[in-house]
Amino acid sequence: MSLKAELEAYLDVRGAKLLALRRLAGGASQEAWGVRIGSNAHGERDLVLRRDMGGTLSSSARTRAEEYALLRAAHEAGVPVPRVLFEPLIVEGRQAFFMEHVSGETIGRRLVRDEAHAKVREILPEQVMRALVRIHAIDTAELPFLRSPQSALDLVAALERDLDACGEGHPALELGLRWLRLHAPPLERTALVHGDFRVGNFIVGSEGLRAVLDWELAHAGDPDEDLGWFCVRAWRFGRDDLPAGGITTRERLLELYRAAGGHDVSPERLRYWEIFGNVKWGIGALSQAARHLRGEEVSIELATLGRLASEMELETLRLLSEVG
Amino acid sequence: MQDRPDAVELIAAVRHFLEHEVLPVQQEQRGRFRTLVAINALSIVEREWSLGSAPTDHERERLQALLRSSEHDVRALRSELARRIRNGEADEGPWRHAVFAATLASVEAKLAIANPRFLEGGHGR
Repeated sequence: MSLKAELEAYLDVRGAKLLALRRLAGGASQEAWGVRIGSNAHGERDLVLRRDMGGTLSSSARTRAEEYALLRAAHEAGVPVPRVLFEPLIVEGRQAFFMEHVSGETIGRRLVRDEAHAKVREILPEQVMRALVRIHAIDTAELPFLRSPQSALDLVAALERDLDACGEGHPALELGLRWLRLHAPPLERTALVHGDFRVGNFIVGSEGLRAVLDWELAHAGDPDEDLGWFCVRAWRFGRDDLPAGGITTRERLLELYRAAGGHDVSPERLRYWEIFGNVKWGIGALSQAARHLRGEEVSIELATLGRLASEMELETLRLLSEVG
Repeated sequence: MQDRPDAVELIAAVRHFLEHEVLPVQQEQRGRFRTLVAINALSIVEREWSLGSAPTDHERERLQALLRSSEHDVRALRSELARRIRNGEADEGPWRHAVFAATLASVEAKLAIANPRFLEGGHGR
């Protein structure tokens, strides 16, 4: 059966009709489809179908059934997320689930630069920090698929393995990994780490944050990782004058996190996880290019990521020269 | 020896075609994005072929001096440097400074091809 036929059958027993189906720009390890359905109970509705790609980004990436459980837990914790619908399903042998379509701006470059978003940029930092504090308060014991919490050192070891799997030497990333190994902070507190919490993964309307997306890298670990990742240069989309996501300063970010009920995070800890984030995204870009090169998924987007990694290499070296 | 257009000129022609004939008719966001990615990929190839073998030759010389090696293959030299960094041999001292400077020069040479605007402090692409 085709994707369309399988979805029609799935929706039919739930009293809904498939009206339209089109592929959307997706993430690295999953596909997204725009789906319009109609039912007597709810009329016409726009949904998003998220589906596993087949090959995964890394062994730690969440499956769609797990992402469904994370979105439910996040919603119950008061984090703005798209509501999930029905229950997880298997289409053409791959895990998938439906969620509501949330309209708004997702493109990071527009969000940090466009005049149309100037007003919302003033309130967005506070809103995203409030959402992050709520994410970090979610009880990881209720998400049994999360493996035991990983320390910075565990994560650095995993990055070394990911880099080795790419098959080429990268001295700049090795300098970053070595520094991360020598300065790894102990795991002082454990939380649900979103893993990709950044501008570009938010849906934003004129009133502010509507939804936090892309939970596929969620894991149990040090919550400070999410704050450092938020500050990685790539997610500033050119607004380097505002190092925290192109919308605020690092100092203000930490203030807002604390004001929302989060713990104190020192600038040194933030800096550690920002360097970690740059190294992680550099290796992530190489890993995705390697999937193309191995023929697992032939894609112009994945291919060019191999050449993007040197941006993170340069930023890593710049940050290392600052910390001495 | 081939007649003109040479490889760089042919790539430029394909890029021009994508920019002026393919991109304007892309209706969907996804198709538009992938076309822009393809245009960027061809720009990378144009810069790389225009510069010829000089960047690779310079990196070979730097790494051979740094590692006191006669290895010719730059990938092998990079891997050897990467291994020694991971072993902790560049943790401190004068060799660390030499490693850092050589690595920075190699990264800058890669970016001069992959995204020159990023090297100038901008975002690029």
